[in-house]
Amino acid sequence: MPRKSKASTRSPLLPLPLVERLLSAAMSRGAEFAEVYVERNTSTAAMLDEGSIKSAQSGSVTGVGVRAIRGAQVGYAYSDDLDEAALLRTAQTAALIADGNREPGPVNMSRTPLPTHYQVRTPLASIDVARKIELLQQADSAARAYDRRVKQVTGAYADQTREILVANTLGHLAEDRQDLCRLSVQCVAFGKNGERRTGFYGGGGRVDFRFFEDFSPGQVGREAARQAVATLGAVPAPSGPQTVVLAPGWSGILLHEAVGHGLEADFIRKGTSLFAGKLGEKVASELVTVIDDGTVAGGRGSINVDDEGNPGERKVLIENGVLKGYLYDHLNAKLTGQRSTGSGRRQSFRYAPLPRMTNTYLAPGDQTPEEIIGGVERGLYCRQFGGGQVDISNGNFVFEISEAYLIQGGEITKPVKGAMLIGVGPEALKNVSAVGSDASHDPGLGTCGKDGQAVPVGVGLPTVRIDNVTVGGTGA
Amino acid sequence: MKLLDTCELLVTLARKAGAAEAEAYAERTREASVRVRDGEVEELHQASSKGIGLRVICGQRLGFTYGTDLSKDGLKELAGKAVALAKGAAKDPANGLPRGAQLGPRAHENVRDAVVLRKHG
Repeated sequence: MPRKSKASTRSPLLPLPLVERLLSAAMSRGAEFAEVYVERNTSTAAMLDEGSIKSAQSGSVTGVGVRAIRGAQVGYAYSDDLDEAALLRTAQTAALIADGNREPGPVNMSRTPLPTHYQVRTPLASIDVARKIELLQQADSAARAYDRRVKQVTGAYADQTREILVANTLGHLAEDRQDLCRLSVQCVAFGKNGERRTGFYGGGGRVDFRFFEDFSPGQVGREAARQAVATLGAVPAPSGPQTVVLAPGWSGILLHEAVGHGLEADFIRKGTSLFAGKLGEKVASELVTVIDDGTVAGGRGSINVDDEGNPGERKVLIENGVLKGYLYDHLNAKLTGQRSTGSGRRQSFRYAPLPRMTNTYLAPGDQTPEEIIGGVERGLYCRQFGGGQVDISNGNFVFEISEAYLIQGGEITKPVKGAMLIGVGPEALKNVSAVGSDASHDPGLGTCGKDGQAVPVGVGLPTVRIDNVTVGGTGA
Repeated sequence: MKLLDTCELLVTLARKAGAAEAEAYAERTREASVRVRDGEVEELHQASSKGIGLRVICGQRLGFTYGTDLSKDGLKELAGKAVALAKGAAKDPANGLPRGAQLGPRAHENVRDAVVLRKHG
């Protein structure tokens, strides 16, 4: 059960009377809607390379973004000078998107009580940097100790404590503190004849620093090393259409890229997504239920409130194969007569919000992973996804599988190298022929980029079998 | 406060906090853009920002901090944090700020004079 957050006892990021004056200034030329977004973000990052901490940095940035909207026209201005005169100038600039004159009425703001989906008691920004560096050193030792063929190890730790305040002329006022951290390790294993394989693992989320007592740096280092070593001596991947089985967790990146983006309301409104106008239609196998959920406890993509002041929600996007809904921010919802789904997110106060995903996953089915793999006579088991590319307009995707194995006679056998999954998102969805009961989220690794804005997201998938996927490989 | 004064103050604070070498970099930016579609302004964007970054070196160890709070308290915090970060980093003999001839032919002038010279031609 989500707990209700206590009323904030600290003073707001910006005095509320000033926030109201800024809203009035942004409306002064006849805009229909105005919004003030205040953000303070303190972040720390450290990098370990070749056994030593190569860099450690930290920074704190505060700023205010003001948005004025008339129709589909948007005026956006920001300032990191919190001086009243500078902020009023900022609001007046955003107001210029409208060209009339108007005496705006008073704005009566009321705080929306929010559930809380993350309980971070000690802000990550206040944890001593020495403890963060220690995580990296432990992960590095564990990766090297795993196997002597593991040679190059790099580790990264990053966290942030981000406080936001959003107020708008609809009277909404919301505040949230969003802490986020991530520890990751990449390593290279060297085999015979100059063979090199890489491994990558890590995780985190909107969690207390204590999280790393369970999700230990040793475990992170060993898993990265295991991946690198596991595929040494791999044979070339067989090419051509075949049955593939995706391992649970991070494989959800495929769903995020090949389906999720196409359900974002800006692409829907502009008609550039192939899912536009298909509500109520069957777009996937009936085994497929896709959910975007901003309320996952401690999830990397979770939000108590989005960057427009609307509460994070759990949205069913595809249910038993039928398209049920899209992801709406305020602007695109308004323009198409819908309501916001709490999907308006932005990288920082320097950007206007866009409709974005939070934690996107495939709901579990009823088969065990063993049953799913056991039913495949000949196929490919994709344990770890590497990088990939997707064209949102047609759903075409290409993904590199960094750790893959042959499935022969219902069993996972030899590791293969150089496997690429090539396909079209909606086609792949229709070809889903088994969904496992092993619901799984990724460990907290993902950052999604869109229009130059990066936001943290979660992905997830149980074990899934997809028929007739084209695999690019160099083997026969 | 002028950016140059802010930088000088931050370098002084960093040395007080224990940095053997310190370098401050400050900038102030204003930018504007307008996008027009079919004769209508679709998007108007304006930004003003300022910020300061600090690099410190203590015993061949490097620390880096940045921030937007240019008040004296804000700068003090940056200086303290940068030195603390450097203490956690590894030694690297390549860490060091340029000095002497590395600074070019005007190395003998102090920074403030160089700025004045450039301003007046």
